[in-house]
Amino acid sequence: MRETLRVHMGWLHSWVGFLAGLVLACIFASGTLAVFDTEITQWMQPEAPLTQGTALTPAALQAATQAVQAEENKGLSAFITLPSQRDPVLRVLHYDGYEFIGDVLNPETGDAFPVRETAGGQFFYNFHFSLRGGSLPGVQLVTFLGLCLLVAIGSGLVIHIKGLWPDLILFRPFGARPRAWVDAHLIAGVLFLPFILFMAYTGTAIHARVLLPAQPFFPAHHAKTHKKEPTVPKGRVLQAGPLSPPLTPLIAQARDTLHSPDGNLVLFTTDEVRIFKSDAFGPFLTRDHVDFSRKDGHFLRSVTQNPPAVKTLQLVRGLHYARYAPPLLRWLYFLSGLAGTALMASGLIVFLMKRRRSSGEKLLFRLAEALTMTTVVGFPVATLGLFWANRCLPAALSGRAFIEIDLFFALWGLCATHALLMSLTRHAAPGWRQQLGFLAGAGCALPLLDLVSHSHTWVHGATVFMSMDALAFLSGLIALYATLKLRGPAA
Amino acid sequence: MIILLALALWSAAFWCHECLQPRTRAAFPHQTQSVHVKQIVRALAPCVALIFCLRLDTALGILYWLGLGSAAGLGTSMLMAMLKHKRGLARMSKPPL
Repeated sequence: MRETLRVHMGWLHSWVGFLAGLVLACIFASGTLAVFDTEITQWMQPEAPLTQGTALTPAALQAATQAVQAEENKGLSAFITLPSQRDPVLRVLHYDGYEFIGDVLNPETGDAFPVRETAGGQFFYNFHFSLRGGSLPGVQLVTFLGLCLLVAIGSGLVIHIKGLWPDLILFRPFGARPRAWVDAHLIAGVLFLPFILFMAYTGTAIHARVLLPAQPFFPAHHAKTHKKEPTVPKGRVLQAGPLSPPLTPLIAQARDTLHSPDGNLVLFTTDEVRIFKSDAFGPFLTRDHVDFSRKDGHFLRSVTQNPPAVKTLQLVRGLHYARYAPPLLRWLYFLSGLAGTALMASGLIVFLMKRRRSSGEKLLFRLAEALTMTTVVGFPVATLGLFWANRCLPAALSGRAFIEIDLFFALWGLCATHALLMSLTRHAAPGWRQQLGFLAGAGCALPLLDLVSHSHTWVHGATVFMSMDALAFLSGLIALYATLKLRGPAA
Repeated sequence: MIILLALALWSAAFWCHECLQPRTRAAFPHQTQSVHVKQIVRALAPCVALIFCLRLDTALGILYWLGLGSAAGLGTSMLMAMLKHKRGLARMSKPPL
């Protein structure tokens, strides 16, 4: 009976894991990068100096409100993010349909830094939760895949329950190749189980509403009774509001009320100025805010939400988004995210290894191998391609944020085409080696490109640039090691 | 410092856990007394690490504890794999798949 259960669970784990894993690996990888979205944006906008401890002045805030007004005159809904320890600049951002992009201002003088236009780390954040496919079908698909991940974790636990305790840290990378991959899959899954489980659960819970909406999927019966009023598209405004009153006293009052010493968000409606609590203080991701009149700056209201259900959702969001996390905890999130990605990538490879001989390498198997190659190697290649594009494209190029992203998808598409061609012509092994070799070159050479581009000084924010370059170099080295291993005979 | 200590405690617990497994016991023989010590370390080290993490940060201590545990487990498993490889025991395993 128990063995039958394991067999059934094995089938479920294999197929749900493989089909969902093809996309989940990319979702996990982009989520891992999104842990450092601010730092990636800083790397991708090297013109903005990351000088710590610069005091925010009323003149800078005045310049920021004028920038907001200018954006509103263009029909864009803009907001201000105040400097924080993590991001010591003043940003005036608007939503471009996918990411929040905009000007970067000096918090002391209010002068705009001549930064290059880029989606930055926001791209990975958007890709992580919507695959850049919007609420429908993007978020819906990602949430459904989150459910699949929970199923795969549950079935995986049933399969491995006997070996869970004795094989807790068993890893045999020098053993036979299939065994080494299974061990890698198990060790990533077991050691990082708490993280992967809570990320899968919280990620699914945050957007559960798109799978189980309060409104019926088919609104035909309600269409007659409720006439929908026309709404403003997200990130747009119908008309610009008046110029905001001086923000300095409002921010001081809001910070005092919200107990949020820095890094607040300032939003503008036609009548109100809303100052939000920073996400950096505590694991509860609240949307508490203090509202003032946009005409004369008088206090309107303070909005805080404390019911248990709301607090629970705030905690779920806070733990998943990790915006509260201090640097060390952020690195632990990053490491755990990498382990989750490795879990999925190794799972895909184990799936192929188990079926290579029995399938006779028929068309479907070759297609599965091409898709795996596109996920496991193609996605990192495209990611590094995005960083290369950021340094290689002219800084003043108009619409360069979209060009960078187009290049990302073009490169990923090329990898997919290459993988398909190589796999379908029964040359999968050289295909793996070629793509891994390309990845190794792109990763190892990125620090060199960063160095020769002379796009920034190494005085301020050197940690950001060095960490990014080091991680790219490390990924290149890992790819190089894999390429060399693939040249040798299978153990 | 506390973080390093917690990491070391987790690593010690994982190390003892692996040493107590029959497959490793054959490779690294030890005395009965040391078995008891390893069992105690395996049980107590994570608890002490938890206390340290909670002292470091009451709200986020549990997250540090879990994250450090995973990182320590990964590190210990790689170290153990390399040691076994050095002793020529890497291929002592179940048949692959």
